[in-house]
Amino acid sequence: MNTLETIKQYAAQEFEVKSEEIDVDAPFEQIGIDSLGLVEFIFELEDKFDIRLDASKADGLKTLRDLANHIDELITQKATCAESS
Amino acid sequence: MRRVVITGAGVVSPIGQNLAGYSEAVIAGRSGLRLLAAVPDVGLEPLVVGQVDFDPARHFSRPQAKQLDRVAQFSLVAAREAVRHAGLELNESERDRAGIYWGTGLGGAGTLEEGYIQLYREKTGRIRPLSVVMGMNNAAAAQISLEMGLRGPSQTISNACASSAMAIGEGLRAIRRGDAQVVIVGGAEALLTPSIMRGWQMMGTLARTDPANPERSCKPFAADRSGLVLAEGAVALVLEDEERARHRGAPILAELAGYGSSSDAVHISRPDAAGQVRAMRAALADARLAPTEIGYVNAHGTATEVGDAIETQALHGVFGDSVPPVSSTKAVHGHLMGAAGAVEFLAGILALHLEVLPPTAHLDHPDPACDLDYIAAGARAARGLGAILCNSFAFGGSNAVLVARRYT
Repeated sequence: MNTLETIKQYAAQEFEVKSEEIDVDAPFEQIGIDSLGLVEFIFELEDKFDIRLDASKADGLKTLRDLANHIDELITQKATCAESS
Repeated sequence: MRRVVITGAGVVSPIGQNLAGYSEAVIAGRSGLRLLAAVPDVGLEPLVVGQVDFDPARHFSRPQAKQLDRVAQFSLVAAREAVRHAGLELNESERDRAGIYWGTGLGGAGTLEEGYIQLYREKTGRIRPLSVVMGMNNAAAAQISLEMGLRGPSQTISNACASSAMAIGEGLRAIRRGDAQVVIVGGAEALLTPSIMRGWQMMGTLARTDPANPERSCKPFAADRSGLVLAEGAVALVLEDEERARHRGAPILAELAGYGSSSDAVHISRPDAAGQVRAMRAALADARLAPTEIGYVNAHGTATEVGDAIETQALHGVFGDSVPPVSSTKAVHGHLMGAAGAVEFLAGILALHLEVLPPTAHLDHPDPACDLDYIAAGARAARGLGAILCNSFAFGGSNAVLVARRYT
């Protein structure tokens, strides 16, 4: 499962909504995730993917797709660092 | 002056997780206390506690439960039952005059402790972002207000073991003043965390475990009492302006007739009879009742050597040689700390409503220093019981006393 699908499934479980009803391109508020809920959701995703989000970029993340792309970037960066060290 | 009545009650306690269960157990004198095993890696020795076998999944969706500290979960469950019991339905304008007065000693203790574990033991710095709004002392009141759409005054009172009694008293005053027509009052506590339990163990005020019957370890007013038993839970009451309650045909359990409070200004933990007397007299005066009109006292009765003897002296100070029957229901539900006043006042309300006095359980060996009628032989019928008084005395020397009267 790719990152986007993983976090979509996770959001469905965490916010008790049907996965098929989640629009990954809709703003978080529209799918029932408020700002506080988002902070907690990101916190849990960080643990799940063993990454730490870049706080300076967090404001730019408006949708689940944005979030998935950013997580993928971080996973790639982490892998690159691991190879070079 | 406006009269204030109690129209609903809800409870989560070690002896029952609804009103019917609590009522039956408190009158039967059936203990909900149990022995908790040691946790050697944090130095916690075995201790008897009043723990609630609480299943959040019965009451909350998983996402909702994750956002609520245990104390807020207890609070919501108790408040929901109270509102259901009262048949309370508020229209939009009524919500602006409906409030909440809630007591808690340590609020979201479990959330805070989990944060400390991450910070100091796991050294991850991974503290849940929601820990701020889950751990704050007013979280439970806020969650009740949010769920029930209460838009009137909201106040959280944290005054150790007197917290919820004071919250009930302040709710009474809010209705009398006209600040609100309906208030949810009561309190909750969920502090059975290793650090809190260990702190109490180190203080040396907890009951020794009765080796044969751990559930009988709390023995208020008995010669063989050895201390208090920590417990958790919540109680919510619906208070209403009498006219409003009557107008809507609400079931009226009792009238909340009086509230008095005082400070000892003597010692941080040792109680003081004079301070207790002042609070009881203030509550009686507020209720415009003479001591002779009180037919039952639910004592603070923590089962500490000093506390029970001093409360007995204080009761003599107020009632002279004619102290009405007294019981401490802590013997069965333990000491709910910030929720103690509410859970015990509920026992008093039930006494009025059902005309039966709950007993002091486990009192087999009377202490000469405690020379009152403690209803030791089991619940007692009390036909025509007219009024009750309930004591809550806190560390810090804060005393709160509530008086309820049969509604006629």
